[in-house]
Amino acid sequence: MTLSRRDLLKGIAATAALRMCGASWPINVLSAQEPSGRLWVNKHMNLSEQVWRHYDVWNHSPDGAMAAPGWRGGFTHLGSILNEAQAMGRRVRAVGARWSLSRWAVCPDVMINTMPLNYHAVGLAPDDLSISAFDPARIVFAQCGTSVRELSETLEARGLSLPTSGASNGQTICGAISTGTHGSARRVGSMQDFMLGLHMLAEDGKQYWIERASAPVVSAAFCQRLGATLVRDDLLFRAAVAGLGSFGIIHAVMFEAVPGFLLEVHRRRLDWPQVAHAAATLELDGLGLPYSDEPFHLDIAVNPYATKRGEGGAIVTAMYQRPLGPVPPRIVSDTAMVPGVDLLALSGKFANLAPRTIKRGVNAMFASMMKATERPPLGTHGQVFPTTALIGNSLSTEIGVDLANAGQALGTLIDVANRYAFPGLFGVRYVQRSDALLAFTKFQTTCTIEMTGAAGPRTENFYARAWAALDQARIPYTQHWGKINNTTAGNLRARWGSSVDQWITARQSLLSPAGRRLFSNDLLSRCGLQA
Amino acid sequence: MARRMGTTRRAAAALLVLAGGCAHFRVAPANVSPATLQEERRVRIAGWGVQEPLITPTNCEGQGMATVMITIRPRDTFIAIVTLGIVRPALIQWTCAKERNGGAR
Repeated sequence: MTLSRRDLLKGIAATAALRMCGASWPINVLSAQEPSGRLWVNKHMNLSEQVWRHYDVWNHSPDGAMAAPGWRGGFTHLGSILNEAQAMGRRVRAVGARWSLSRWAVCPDVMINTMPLNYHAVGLAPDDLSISAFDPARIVFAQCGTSVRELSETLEARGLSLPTSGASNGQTICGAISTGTHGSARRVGSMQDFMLGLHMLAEDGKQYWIERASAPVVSAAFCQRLGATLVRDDLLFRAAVAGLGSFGIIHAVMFEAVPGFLLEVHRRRLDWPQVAHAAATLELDGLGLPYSDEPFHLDIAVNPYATKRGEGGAIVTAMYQRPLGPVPPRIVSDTAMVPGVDLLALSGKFANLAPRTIKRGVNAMFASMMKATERPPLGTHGQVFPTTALIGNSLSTEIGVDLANAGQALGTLIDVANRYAFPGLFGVRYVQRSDALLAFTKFQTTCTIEMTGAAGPRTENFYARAWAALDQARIPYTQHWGKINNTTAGNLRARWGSSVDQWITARQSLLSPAGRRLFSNDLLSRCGLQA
Repeated sequence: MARRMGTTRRAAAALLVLAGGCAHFRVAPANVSPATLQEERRVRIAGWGVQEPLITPTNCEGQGMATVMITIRPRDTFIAIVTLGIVRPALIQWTCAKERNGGAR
């Protein structure tokens, strides 16, 4: 057999490629990275940071042993990391599921991954409670890294439920409350609103149990077993519960679960002119919903490029609470086609290169979003708000406006999108006022308008134009802390008013200047909250 | 003319290979939450599979995996084509799972 010139060339190319690859793709896999000095990236891939020390904190020791109670090992580990960082003059941020699109969890010094800290227990001994206003069987003690999914699973197995959550279930409980995560259960509020107590790890190894003086929950004996100082202070609690990770590390939270329920989900595609009045007033008569009573949950997806009659530019989702009962089994395949990891990044790049295609692309995507259902799906809270399969490079910003201004705000934003298209959609939800001092759901009924799109300069530029248009129209609004925002010291007080100074005062009452520096980052400084 | 057509076809094929997006293959069991950041290793099969990579994660603390993703980039495909499959690179990424119901009672 003789080799042709072509085979010879292929052989040479293969040998060259093998050598070329040798340096960058060693056959023997590299040893595991040290648990420090690494590149941190958030879930939505819009943030990254080279971190001096990054720790994964587990409840068990490296040999697998776990101290009793199950949270003790992780708590001790958190304390030792804090002590070391404090001694070295470094700043510390605890990070949950990396869900946030803004830099609240980011700091170049020390970042602690709390996701493995998922101890959670349902039910307290009666002598752990200070008053009998709460049902001890429904009280939940959850470590910071416990995810919404884990909580739903555990509670639903006991006939209980979370009162509300975000639209998906991957956030950790402390990450969710710290930035004000909300759903659209209008009479329930945001996730921080059903919290009762916070186990806070602060500077110098101090630990506190913080709860409202007006709604005390735990007994002195409970705090003694925890090793924490009991602090009952309404203002401090309202500041720390949505504390942006800046009051210390919230090691665990306590809340009261609600009796389990099912949600009956109705979804209708309508024209935006049919929906606009309801979206601005919550007078739902024109939506043709199946029941006259107020839905437990209401959200509206809006395609800003299909706002005329006959274009089907709005999808209204109404959910009605039903008693807990058997749920029809779901047929689940173990293999499915889902949107690709690179889809959003490629869409963002394409939108930037060919902005004239954006409206057509969004219209096509929106038209395929809703599948007809023969009967309304029924499921538990955890089933209705499941894990999202969509991952990739996306961006999102969300504003909160008073319901009275919702119509004007939506009109303004739709107008901006039609003048400067971005590859994304609007999501409109309604949330009851939160009493957390810096909650972005601060209006009696806050209409939240989320603008989510593929990552890229086009989307970023759209956000800047949208905020500028709202400012120009003099529409008062707040911004979701966990999403892209332009909040600075210059506009913070205009948005949150006197709550800002109350928040700062509360933080000063808990932490010394050194402690305030320890639990700070650049974003806190940008917002003028570091004082 | 025929030669030019051939060149065009080869250029188009090369463009398709190089300009295409990455191919991702994901495994993510339901009801398992990730506990760690994503780790990744660039690996390759050599000699048509005579040698293949074995990854033994040391960051999972005795837990299983929550997600595994294999990524084949356009240049990985190019290398596999040029080397007639002798070398087939890929990127493997994973996250470790949380402890199941960590201490729930």
